[in-house]
This record gives sequence, structure tokens and C-alpha cells, in this order.
Amino acid sequence: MTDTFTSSRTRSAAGNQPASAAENQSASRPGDKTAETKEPSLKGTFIAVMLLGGFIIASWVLVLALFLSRN
Amino acid sequence: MHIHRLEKIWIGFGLAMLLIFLLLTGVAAFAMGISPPSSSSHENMHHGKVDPTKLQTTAPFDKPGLKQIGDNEYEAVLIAYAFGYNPDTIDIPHGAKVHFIVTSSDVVHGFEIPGTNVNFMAEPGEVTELTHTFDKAGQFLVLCNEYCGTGHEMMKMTINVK
Amino acid sequence: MISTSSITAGKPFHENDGQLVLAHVLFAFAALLLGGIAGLLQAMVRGGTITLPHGIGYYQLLTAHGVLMALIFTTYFIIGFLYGGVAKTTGRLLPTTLALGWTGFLLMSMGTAVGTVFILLNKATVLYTFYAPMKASPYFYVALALVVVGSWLSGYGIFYQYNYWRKTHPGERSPLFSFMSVVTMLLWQVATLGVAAEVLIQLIPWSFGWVDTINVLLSRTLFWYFGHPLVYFWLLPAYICWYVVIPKVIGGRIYSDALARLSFLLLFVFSIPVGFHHQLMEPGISQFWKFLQVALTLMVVVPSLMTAFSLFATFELAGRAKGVRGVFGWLKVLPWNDVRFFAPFMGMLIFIPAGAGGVINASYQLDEVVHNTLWITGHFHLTVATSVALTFFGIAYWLIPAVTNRRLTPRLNKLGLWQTWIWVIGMFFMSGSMHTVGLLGAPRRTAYTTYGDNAQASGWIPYEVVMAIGGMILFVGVLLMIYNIYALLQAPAGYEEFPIGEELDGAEPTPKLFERWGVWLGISVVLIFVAYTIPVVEMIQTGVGSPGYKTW
Ligand code: HEM
Ligand SMILES: [Cu+2]
Ligand SMILES: [Cu+2]
Repeated sequence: MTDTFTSSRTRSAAGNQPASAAENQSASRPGDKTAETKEPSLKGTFIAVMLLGGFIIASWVLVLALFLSRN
Repeated sequence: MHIHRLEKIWIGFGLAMLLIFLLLTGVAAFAMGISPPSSSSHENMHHGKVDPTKLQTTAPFDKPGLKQIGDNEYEAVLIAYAFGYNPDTIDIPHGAKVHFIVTSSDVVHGFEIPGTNVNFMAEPGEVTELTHTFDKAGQFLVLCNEYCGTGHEMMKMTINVK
Repeated sequence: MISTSSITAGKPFHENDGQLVLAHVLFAFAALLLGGIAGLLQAMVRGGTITLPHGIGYYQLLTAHGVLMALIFTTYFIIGFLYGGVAKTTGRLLPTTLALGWTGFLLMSMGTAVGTVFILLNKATVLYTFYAPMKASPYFYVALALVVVGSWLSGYGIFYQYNYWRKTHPGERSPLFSFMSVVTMLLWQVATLGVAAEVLIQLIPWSFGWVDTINVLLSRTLFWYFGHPLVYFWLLPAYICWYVVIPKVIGGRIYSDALARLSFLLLFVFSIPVGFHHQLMEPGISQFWKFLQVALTLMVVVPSLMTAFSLFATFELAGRAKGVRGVFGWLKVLPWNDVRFFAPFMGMLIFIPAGAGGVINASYQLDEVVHNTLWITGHFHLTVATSVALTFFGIAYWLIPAVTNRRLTPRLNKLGLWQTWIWVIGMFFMSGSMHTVGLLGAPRRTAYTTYGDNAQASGWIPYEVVMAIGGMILFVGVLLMIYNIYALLQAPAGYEEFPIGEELDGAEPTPKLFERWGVWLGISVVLIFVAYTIPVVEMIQTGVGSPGYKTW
């Protein structure tokens, strides 16, 4: 059973490496004031989510119309 | 924690959308009285509650049926039971405003008039009230839309609007 | 990055851990098969295609379907998946974790077996929501209690493993997968308190005859205190796949660890004090409290909007890293032929109409249009039976080989793509017609009927026939899925990756606050007390007891 513990430790250290590496990287650039200007372009993402928002509104209004027509 | 400018816009948009939905439903409910069903505030009811085992002797359920209470305004006192409604037919004058006052004498039931917004639950011990104006003439089906046992799919009543 | 992941590449999954995961996953798919048979028969009965042989009732099937699908398939798969990911990200499961996991499995399985027997004996035809005052056999409620208590132990196992990891890694941020597993299980612990109280304090004493009557409204309120977070208990593991697994599968990065954790915490905090949105059409709860919970319900939409953004951003950035241009160019480089991506992706896509439907259902008066109609059934066949189920299917294709040290073959990958299409097409017909006929007023949970040749109700039958056709297509999908699971167990030995995404370079550090559990639990408790205390006290004080009935 003791070797379960040791191996779990080594395994987990390896598993976690990427995450802590990323943390160190960002920590080595304190403040990151330039982030605002260096933001990646997410235009496609933005259009996609706005279409999603439009879909929610359209379906909501459709059921609202049904509700009003039956009231 | 940094959030992308476009994500901030998106979340702002989403919040605005949800707040508008909330505002519209809230104004309709609290300012215009277009609200979902709730406990009956009928004079005979204590907190909108009744003893489900004593309905025969408890007003107004001792005399279920339609009762005129004003100018083309009615109270429809109904008891849902497995598997039907008492009474099973009511005749309503065209254009009448009807206050449904409904409870159950056994398990939980539904009360739905398809094609209208009348849709609520009838529960033992509780009295539900909902108001609806019938501006269209014709025969309306009322069905139970909450599972109540083997005969559930047969549970219905009829409303004639003339 | 490639170097870090290759450290673990090829390392076999430990057998003891793998067995626990596999046991849960196989149990889940057995439930899917049985539930699928019931589902097929239901759809055919409703469409008027068949009448059931004497002795089997429609509502008996519906009870079995609801319990096996909504409670058993989901819970077992979730626990198996979470244990797998926790083992992958925190190291081998500790002996105590394994012991808790297996004890939980045994208790839940005993509960499932007893519950199923009582459903088959027609002693518990009360549907999976078991609304009082319909009174099932007390052993049915005992069985449910066993399932819940078993799942608690499984949750404790995950907490134990996580705590051990944190103690041995002071100051480090926990792996995202494990963090999310802890949130999911914490949500489950808090949520199940409601149903546990209902079952232990109300239903069991009443069904054994120790007390004569039951407070119906209170029992419904306790049920729905549990019932809404239940749907988030299904959804969060699917979100884990979308946030943590999918970035790795598409060769991208996790968009933001911090935002992912934040959205999970928001889901935890807001998904519990909202159960009244299932009780908008009933008496006994005042307008004010209903509306307050409607407002909280709409708040729980926000973390899902954040999730949508993060997922699209992951896709877009992965595409840009591969050099594609154009606003939607990234769509072209997604791995459409990889079932590990495609099945969950279809789940995400279908979550758009599913979520839109949910916003409508929660919108107070609008619920009058859809309450207890087939629209609702259509809605959750999109949410749980498609978004969640397809994501779970997509996970199974790599999880089973990963924990049994086999590999996903190209042939099985292809069968998986077929399975996904069959499911989506079947659901398009079944859920699509359920939504439509629901808007026309057709009730849910109702056997074939025209209400004595009523013209309006007869007009619903054609839609219900389409529903039955969709159900048949779906059943083919269930059979193919079961075959795929069988074939995965026979797959050639080897190594299959357990995909765990890594964060973008230079992403912001995650605030430490996100792992101060006391704070989040505290906020959750405060919200629950605000949303529930006054109405529940009133229900207890003014409630009138009801005797029990067996109406089936
Ligand atoms: C072969 C695939 C499936 C078919 C044909 C099917 C069909 C149906 C039908 C016809 C109903 C009952 C409609 C009614 O009378 O109200 C139903 C209810 C339900 N289904 Fe499915 N379904 C399938 C898969 C699933 C899956 C995968 C899940 C969840 C993981 C699920 C969860 C449910 C639930 C929770 C109910 C409600 C039960 C109730 O109202 O008590 N179904 N399904
Ligand atoms: Cu019924
Ligand atoms: Cu809900």
C-alpha cells in the first residue's frame, strides 16, 4: 500500500505540470498591463454567441406571442 | 482576473436580455395582474387550504358548480378526483369572466384547457384560483395533465361557451 | 507542451482504478438499454402504433424509463467519469477513495435492483418524481434512499482524494478536472438534502403506516429543491468534458482556467435556490417567492452564456493557432471525423435550442403555455437525453479503452459517428414533434388518448406518430451504442489517451478565492435560506395532511 502513495505522488506531479507551468509563466509577467492591447481576435466567437443570443430572443418572443394570442 | 473585451460585451448583452425578460414578466404579473395561478383568496378559505377528506361538508366545495357573482362574472367551483371533475360539464355565457376555484379530493391533478392559457395544478389540501375570460364561443376540452393513476388519460371535462 | 503530455503517454491506467470506473460505466449503459426499450414502447403506444399486452401498463413503463434514464444512467456514468478523471489528474486512487467508491457502487446497485423489482411488480407506478399522495410500496422509497446514500459515499471518495492532493501539494492550484468534480459532488450533496428529507422524514414513515397523512405541498417543494440542481448534476460533467477534454481532442488549449472555475462556482451557487420554477402553476406559494426564484433562475443562465463564449473561443483560437483565417475559418479545421469531438459537439450544438427552451419555461407566465405539456418532455430530451447523453457517449469511446488499456479503433470511431447522426436525427423527429404538439396543448405523461374523439385532441395524433418514428430511430441508436460498448470491451490492447486539456500560455492566474470552499458553501446556504425559509415555514404551519392513495 505504501507504494500506492508514492506512485500516486509522482504520477500526479507529472499530471499537474502543465497547469503549474502556465501559472508560472503568467506570474513571470507581473501585472500584464498590456493584456488589453494583446487580446487575441475573437470575432468569430463573438458573432457565434450573438447569433445564439438572437436565437434565444426569437424563441422567447415566439412563445410570448402565443401566450398573448391566447390570453 | 482578465476578461476579454468581447466577452464582457457578450455577458452584458446576455444580462440585459435576461433583465428585460424579467422586467416584462414582472410588470405583467405585478402591475397588470396577468399572473400565474395561486392560492385561492375565497372568503371561505383559511390561507387557501381545505381538508381534502371533508370536502362534502366544506363550503364552497359542498356545492361544486358555476355561481354568478357579478355582471357576466362567475365562480366555477370544481373538484378534481381520480379520474374526472365534479361537475363534468359547465355552461358559460359568451364573454364571461370566470374565476376557477379548484381542489382535489385525492391525488394531485392538472387542469388544462388546450388552446388557452388556463393550465394549473389541483392539489389535495390546497385551493387553486385562476381567472379567465371566455371571449370565444364553442366547446372547450378540459384535461388532466398531471399523472394521477391508471385512468389518467381519460380524465376530462367539458366547458360549453354559448 | 508536447513533451509534458508525453511523460504520461503510454503509461497504463492502474487496474484497480480502471475497474471502478468501468463498473460504473457498464452499469450506466445497461440502464440505458433497459430504459431505451421502455422509451421505444412508450413512443409507440402514444403514437397509437401498438397496445401493450395485458399486465404491462404505460405508466409502469414510464416509471421505469424515468428512473433508469434520469436517475440511474446519469448518476452511474457521472460517478465513473469523475473517478476516472480524478485518478488521471491527482494520481492513483487512494485505498480509502477506492473503498468509498465501491461501497457507494454497492449501495446504489442494491437500491437500483430493489427499486426496479418494485416497479416491475407494479407496486411503485408513481413515475420518477413519486409525487405524494400517491403511495408506493415503502420498499421503493427505501430503494431510492439507498441510491442517494450510495452516491453520497461516492462523493466523499472524491472529496477525500482531492483533500489528500491539496495537503500534499501546498500552495498549488488543483487540477481543473478535479476541482470541477468537487463542485459537481458538492452540488449533489447540498441538492440531495431535499429529497433525502422528503424520503426519510415524510415518505418512508407514511408509506409504512407509522403516520397517517402527508403534507403534499411540502413534499413537492422538497422534491423540487432537489429536482432542479439534479439537472445541473447531469450537466456539469458534460461541461467538464467541454471545458477540459474537448480542447485537448481538437489540439487546442483551455481558453481560461479562471473563467471555467468561476462559471462552475456560479452554477453551484445559483442552481439550488430555484426549485419553485417547477411549481409556478401550483397553489400554496405566493407570487413574491415564485418570482424571486424566477429571477434567480435567470441568473443561472449567465454561467452558461460564459461557457458558450469559452467554447467558441477555444475553437477559434485552436483554428488560428493552426493558421486558418477568416471569421469562421476555424470551423473547417475542427476534427469532424473524430467521434471524441463530434458526439460532444453535437451535444453542445443542441444545447442551444435546449437552453432557449429552458429560458422560456422559467419565464413565469409563459410557463402557462408549456407546463406539463409534451413541450417539457421535448425540452429535456434535448438537454439530458441529447446534450448530456451524446457527450457521455462521446466520452465512453475513449474512457472505456483508456481505463482498460485498449484503444479506440478507426472502425469503432466510424460506428460512433454513425451513432451520433442516428441519435441527432431520431431526436430531431421525436423532440421536434414533442415541442410542437406541446405548444398545441398535448399533455405529457399520458397514454394514447383522443379524449373520446375530441377533434382537438385527435389533431395531435399525427405529431405523436412522428414522435414514435423518432423513437424508433433513437432505439436503433441505443442498440448501436450498446454494440459499440461491447466492441470497445473487445478492442485491441494498447494505449488510449485520457484527454486533459492544458491552459493557454500566458492566461491569467486563477484567484485563490476559488478554492476557499467555505465561502462558496456559505453563499449557497445564504441564498437557499433567503429563497426558501419563509415559504417553507408557512407550508409547515398551515399545511393540511392528506392520506395516501394507490390509483394504479
Ligand atoms: C430510445 C431513446 C428514447 C426514447 C424513445 C424516449 C422516449 C420517451 C417518451 C415517449 C417519453 C414519455 C412521454 C410522456 O408520456 O410523457 C419519455 C419520457 C422521459 N424520458 Fe425518454 N426517451 C429516450 C431516451 C431518454 C434518455 C436517454 C433520457 C435521459 C437520460 C430520457 C429521459 C426521460 C425522462 C426523464 C422522461 C420523463 C418521465 C416522466 O415524465 O416521468 N429519455 N421518453
Ligand atoms: Cu391525471
Ligand atoms: Cu428546473
